Amino acid sequence: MSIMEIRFDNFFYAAPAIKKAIREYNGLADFSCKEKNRCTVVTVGNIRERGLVSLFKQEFSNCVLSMMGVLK
Amino acid sequence: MKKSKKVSIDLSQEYYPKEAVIITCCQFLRDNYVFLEKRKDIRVMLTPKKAGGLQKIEREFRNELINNTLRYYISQKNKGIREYIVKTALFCSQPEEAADDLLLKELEGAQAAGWQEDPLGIAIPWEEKNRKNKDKKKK
Repeated sequence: MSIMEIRFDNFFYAAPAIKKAIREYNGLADFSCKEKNRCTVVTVGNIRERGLVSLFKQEFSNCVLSMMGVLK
Repeated sequence: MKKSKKVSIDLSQEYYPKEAVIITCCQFLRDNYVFLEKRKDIRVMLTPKKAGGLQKIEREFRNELINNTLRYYISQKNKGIREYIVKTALFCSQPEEAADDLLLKELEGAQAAGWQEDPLGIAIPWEEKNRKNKDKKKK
């Protein structure tokens, strides 16, 4: 079971956008979120689909960015 | 030697506002994976979903960023005018019935007062009104 950490700099990424993206991806993996050094660190574990593991970080980051566009 | 699959673009905040960078990144989401980092300046990391054309992507990104930067600065300058136009448009789009409703309420209030009550003092004769004013002047 692989665990990955994604650091989103608060300078660019808004917390509501990150939380909204986590809700969108809720069924695909387990998420936890914490604030650290002006970054939001999202820990992802137990990714359900094995085929998604290699691209998960990139797809999730894209989703967060797209939520930023929606929120604005 | 392995070819790099992603391109990193460092952008100075002096020239490119953060908002313009984010908007440009959103435009490139369809065909690329985009990630933003804050180093000394802004770092944008683009990984194309389909192989090839890294230099082309970087050039397109930079071009689009300039467009969005210009749009951003223009929108900042025009913000006041746009807000004024929208407020005026919303005000003018109010239905005419609202004004009629106000008139009806005034009439209903006047009718409810009854014919003997005279809230505006219309029924007072002119002589009586002037007599009162003369008394005030004498004092």
